[in-house]
Amino acid sequence: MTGAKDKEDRLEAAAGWLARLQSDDSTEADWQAFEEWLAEPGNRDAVNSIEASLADVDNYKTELHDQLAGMGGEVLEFPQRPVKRNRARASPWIVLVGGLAAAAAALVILVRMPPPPAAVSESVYSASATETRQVKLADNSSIWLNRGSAIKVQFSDLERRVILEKGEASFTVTHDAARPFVVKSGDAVITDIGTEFNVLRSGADISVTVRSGMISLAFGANAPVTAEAGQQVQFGSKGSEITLTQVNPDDAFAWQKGRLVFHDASLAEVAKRLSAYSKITVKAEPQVEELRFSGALMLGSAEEMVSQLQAFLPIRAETGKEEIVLKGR
Amino acid sequence: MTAEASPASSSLLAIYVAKRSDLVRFFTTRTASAAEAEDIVQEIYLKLARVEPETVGNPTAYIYRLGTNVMLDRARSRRRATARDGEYLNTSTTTITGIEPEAETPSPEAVMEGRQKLASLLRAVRELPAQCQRVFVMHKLQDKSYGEIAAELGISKSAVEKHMMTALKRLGDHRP
Repeated sequence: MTGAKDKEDRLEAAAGWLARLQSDDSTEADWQAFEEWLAEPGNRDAVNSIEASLADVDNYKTELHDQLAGMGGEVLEFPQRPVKRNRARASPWIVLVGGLAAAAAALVILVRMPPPPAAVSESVYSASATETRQVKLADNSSIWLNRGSAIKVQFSDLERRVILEKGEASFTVTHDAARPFVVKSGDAVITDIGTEFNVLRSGADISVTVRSGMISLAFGANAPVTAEAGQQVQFGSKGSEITLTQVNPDDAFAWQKGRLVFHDASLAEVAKRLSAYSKITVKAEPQVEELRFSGALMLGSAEEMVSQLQAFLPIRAETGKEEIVLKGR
Repeated sequence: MTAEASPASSSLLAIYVAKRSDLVRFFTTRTASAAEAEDIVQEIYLKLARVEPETVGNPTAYIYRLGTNVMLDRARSRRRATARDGEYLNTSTTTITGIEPEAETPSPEAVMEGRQKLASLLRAVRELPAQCQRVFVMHKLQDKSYGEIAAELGISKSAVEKHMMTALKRLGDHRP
């Protein structure tokens, strides 16, 4: 048998084995037969080759899903139609929300993170780059994902756990005294005591805003902080500072209606937030990063939102393949 | 090192103990390293202490699958540790992974390579026959089980398995 045909056959057999063994119905006998087959020279390489490809698929899971999925819903469309971005509006608009009391207090505390209990069922959800997405969970809680965001849901008998891997999500949690609802993002652990809150992750910075009810947040080894309706807690990447501010929670949830709201935010903060939903990094150069912006941007691609910004601030944007740099005009 | 085992998981642990030498032998064959096999089987033990077996179909097969995932996770961590140029890191600079610190910015070569790899993967998946592509995406990108896929598409589980086999073979072909 020639090398090439041999290799083909082994690859096919390997594919058959892997497909079989991934099934919930596979038995011990299957694994034993697989072990016997593996012992033959050349077979292990065939399996490794396929598994290496699967590892690549896993690495690029979000991008592949974005490219292959339809408009962010459960149903995927085949064959792939090019995704149209229909939010390119030329005139942005400002909404200034009045009546905000901003009281900032910085707290620093120390405590351990609780150990993770058993995860039984795990599901992964992600929103495409162009649409937000709503997910309903088995307990009737719902999670709304902003563009480009990804979560992992792990429900067990002990706890309902969600991991916010990237981006932004808002949670409406049904009450279950027996099973706390826990959201983890980076080093932050948010336990829900109430019902509605929003979590935004930009890099290692986490911002949690409560609309109703109460939550308890623990960041890394710090002691839990409680936040109630109308409060926003921010965990910064620099050290263990936890900032608690009084906010209008609707602003944090405004993205559900297609707007990102900012209050006296520095351009550096705005850039960071825009980067949270996008594969493109938005950066502000030192000479402009302290410019303040208050207003609302229409949720869109990073380029679209930056061009809205340019109408209000004396900046210009230099767009590269991986990043957009905001400079002075 | 002891792990606290809930009463419910002790039956899984009992099976583990009975099959331990089988598992070591299997993973030795699978990884060609007795030392690696030992480490994997030990990690299986630690994970088993936390699982609720009511949801586990065939417990022994489940343990083998768990071990396979451990094996793959370990291989991935090793690749990440040795690939300093960011070759295996997700090249999207705004993606944040769980507990890892902010990744170093990958070199332009690594970024290009990452793009090419993604493009090649995308091509491979798009070239799959329609139903096969659907099954693959549901299983590998949406983490649905064969049972769920079968129910959603209105086909048998063995049909799902056959489609996965086709997809895996094609994926394997794409790699040199």
